[in-house]
Amino acid sequence: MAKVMAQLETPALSVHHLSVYYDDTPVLWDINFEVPVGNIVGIIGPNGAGKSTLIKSILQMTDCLSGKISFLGTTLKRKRKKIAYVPQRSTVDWDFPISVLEVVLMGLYPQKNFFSWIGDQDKKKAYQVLESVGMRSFADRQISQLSGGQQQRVFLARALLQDADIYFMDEPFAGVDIATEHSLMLTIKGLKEKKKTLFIVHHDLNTVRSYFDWVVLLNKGLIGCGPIEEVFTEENITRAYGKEGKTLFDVNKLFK
Amino acid sequence: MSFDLISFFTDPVLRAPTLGSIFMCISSSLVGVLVFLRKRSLLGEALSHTSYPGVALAVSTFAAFFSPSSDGFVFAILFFAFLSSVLGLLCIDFLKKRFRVYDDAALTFVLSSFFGIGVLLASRLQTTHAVWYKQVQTFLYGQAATMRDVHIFIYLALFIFILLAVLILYKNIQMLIFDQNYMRSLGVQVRYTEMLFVFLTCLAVVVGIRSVGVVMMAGMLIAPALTARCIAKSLKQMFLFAALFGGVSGFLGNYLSVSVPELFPGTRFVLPTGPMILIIASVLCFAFLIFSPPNGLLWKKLSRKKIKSKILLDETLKFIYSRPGKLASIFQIKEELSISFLRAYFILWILFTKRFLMLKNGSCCLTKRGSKKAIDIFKCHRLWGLYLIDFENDCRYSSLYDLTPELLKDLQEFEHVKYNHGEK
Repeated sequence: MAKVMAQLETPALSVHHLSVYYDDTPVLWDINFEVPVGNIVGIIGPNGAGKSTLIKSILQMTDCLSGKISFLGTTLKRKRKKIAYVPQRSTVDWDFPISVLEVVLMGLYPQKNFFSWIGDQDKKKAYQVLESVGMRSFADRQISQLSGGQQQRVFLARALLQDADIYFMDEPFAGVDIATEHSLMLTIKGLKEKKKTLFIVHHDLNTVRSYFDWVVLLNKGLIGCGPIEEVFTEENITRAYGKEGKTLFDVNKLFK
Repeated sequence: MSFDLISFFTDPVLRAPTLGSIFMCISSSLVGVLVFLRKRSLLGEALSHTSYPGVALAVSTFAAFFSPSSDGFVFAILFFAFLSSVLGLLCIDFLKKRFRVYDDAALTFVLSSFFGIGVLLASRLQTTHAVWYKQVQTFLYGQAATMRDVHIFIYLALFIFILLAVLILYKNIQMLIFDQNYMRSLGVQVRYTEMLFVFLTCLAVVVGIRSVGVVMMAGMLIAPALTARCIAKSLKQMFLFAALFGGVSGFLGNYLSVSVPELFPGTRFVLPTGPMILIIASVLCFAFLIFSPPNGLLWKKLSRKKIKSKILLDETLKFIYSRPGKLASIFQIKEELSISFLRAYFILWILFTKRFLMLKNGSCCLTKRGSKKAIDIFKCHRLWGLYLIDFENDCRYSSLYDLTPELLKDLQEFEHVKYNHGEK
C-alpha cells in the first residue's frame, strides 16, 4: 500500500542505474531506487559497502560513471540550494580557527554571492537555529574546543540554516553519546514533520527500527529499498552482512 | 646622516625600499595565511626556489638588450621567474599524479633540482659576465636597498590584487580549508579555488624574491601567519593580524637595516634588508609563541601553576577543617595532599600570612577567619559539582570564585530544588 501511494507523487529522490568505479573496481553497482517525500531514510550496510560513496555520487561530489539521478523530479543543478549535506566529522580540518557561529553561518553561503556579506539579520537566524539544537551559549567558542556530540549538533544547525528540502547526513551518530543521539534524532524527526526528506548513513542495527521509516540496504549493489517492515528483514540483513556466525548472532538478537 | 621615521616614506632614496618592503610583506603574509592553514608551507619554499632558474635565464638573455636599471628589465625578470615557478609547480603536480610520489617528496625533489639548474646557469655567468652574475645574486638573498619607485607600484598592484582576491573569495577560502566536502556539496568547484590559491602563492613568492630573496621567501610567508595563529580566533583575524605583523616586520627590518649601521660610523658594518625583515618576523613569531596570552608557552605554564596553587590552598583549608579540633600537623597535610615538604611549608606560610591559620601545640589550627573561608570553599565546591553535572557550560576553576552572591543564591536554590526532587 505504502509503495502504491509513494508512486503517485514525485519522489524526493530517484536513482537509476547508478554505478561508481574506483579505477576499474566497482564500488557501487547498478543502484536503482526511489524514495517518497517526507521520510527518514537510513542508508545501511557493512563497512566498505559504499554508503558514503552513494551520498557523494548522488550529490556529484565524485565522478559517477553512469546513472541518472533526479531530485523532486528535476536535476541536481536546479535543486542544489534545496539540498543540505552534513559531512563526516573526520573530514573536517579541526585546526582551522573558526567559531561555532561562523560554522553555522556557512549554511547561508549558498544564498550569498561573492560580494554579499553576512549581516545582522543572518546572525539572528543563526542564533535561532543554535538555540533549537541547544548550543546558543557556545556561539562564540572555537569549534575545535567542543566535544564530539556538540560539534555534530553545530553541523546539524548549519544544515537547518540551509533550510533545505532534502538532507544528507554522513554518519551523524558516529562517536556521539546516547543523550546527544536522542536530541539529534528529535530535531531530525521535527524536520520530517515539515515534509523534509532525510538520508542518514547509519551503523547501529539496533536502532534502525526506531529511527527510520524507510531503508536503503546496500552492499556494493542494492539489496533492498523500501518501508522498514518490508526491507529490514532477517533475510535481507543476512544478505548484506554475510552469514558469518558473529554477524548472524547479532541479527538474530535484533528480531527477538 | 640621520633619518627620522617620516623620511623613510618621503626620502627619494629610502621610500622605495620602505614602501616596497611593506607592501610586499603584507601581500606575502596574506598569501601565507592560506598556505599555512592549508598545511602546505613547503609549497611556498618550493615555489620560491623553482623561480631561481627563471631569474638566471632572464638575466642572461635580456641583460644584453636592456640596461640593468630599466623598467623593462625588472618586468622581464619577474615574468621569467613566474614562468619558471609555474613550470616547477606543474612538475610537482605531474610527479604526484603520474608517479604517485608523496607530496613532500615531490616538493623537495623539484625544489632542489630546479635550484640546482638555477645555480648552474648563474655560475656560467660568473665567469663570462660578472656584473650580470651580481644581478642574479641579488635575487638569491634579496636586496631591498636598491629598489626603485617602479617597485613600489609593482608591489602596490600586487597588494591590491591579493587583497581583492582574499576579500571576494573569503567564503570560498573558509569553506575550502575548513570543510571541503561541504563546499563540494554546494556544487562549488573546489578545483578553481585551489588553482587560485596556488596562483596567488606563485605571484606573491615571485614578486617577493626581489626584496627577501629566494632562500628566505618561505619564511616571509609563514612567520606572520604563525604569529597570527597565536591570537587569531577566526579567518578574518588571521588575515588582519598576519597583514599587521608582516607590515610591521617589513618596515622595522628596513628601518633597522638603515639606522643601526648609522650608529657605528666608520666601521664597514652592513645589515642587509632581506634577512633583517625575516629576523624581525621570526622574533615577533617567537615572542608570540612564548608570551601571547591564551596559548603562549610561558603564559600557559604560569596560569597552570597559579591555578594549581589555588587548588592546593583550598584543599588544605578543607582538610584542616575536617580534622578533629580543626588541627593538623604538617606531616598529615603533606600525606593527605601528597605533596613535598617544601610545597607544604610554602602553602602553610601563605595561609599564615593570610591569617587563616595559627599555631597551636606545634600543629596548625584554623582561625575564625580560616574556618569561615573553609566553609565557603565547601559550599562553593558542592555547588560547583552540581553545576558541572547539570549545566553543559564553560566551567573553569579560576571562575569558581567569580560566583557573584546572586549566582550563589541561584545555585543554592537549584540545589534545594534538586534535593526536594530526590525526596519525591
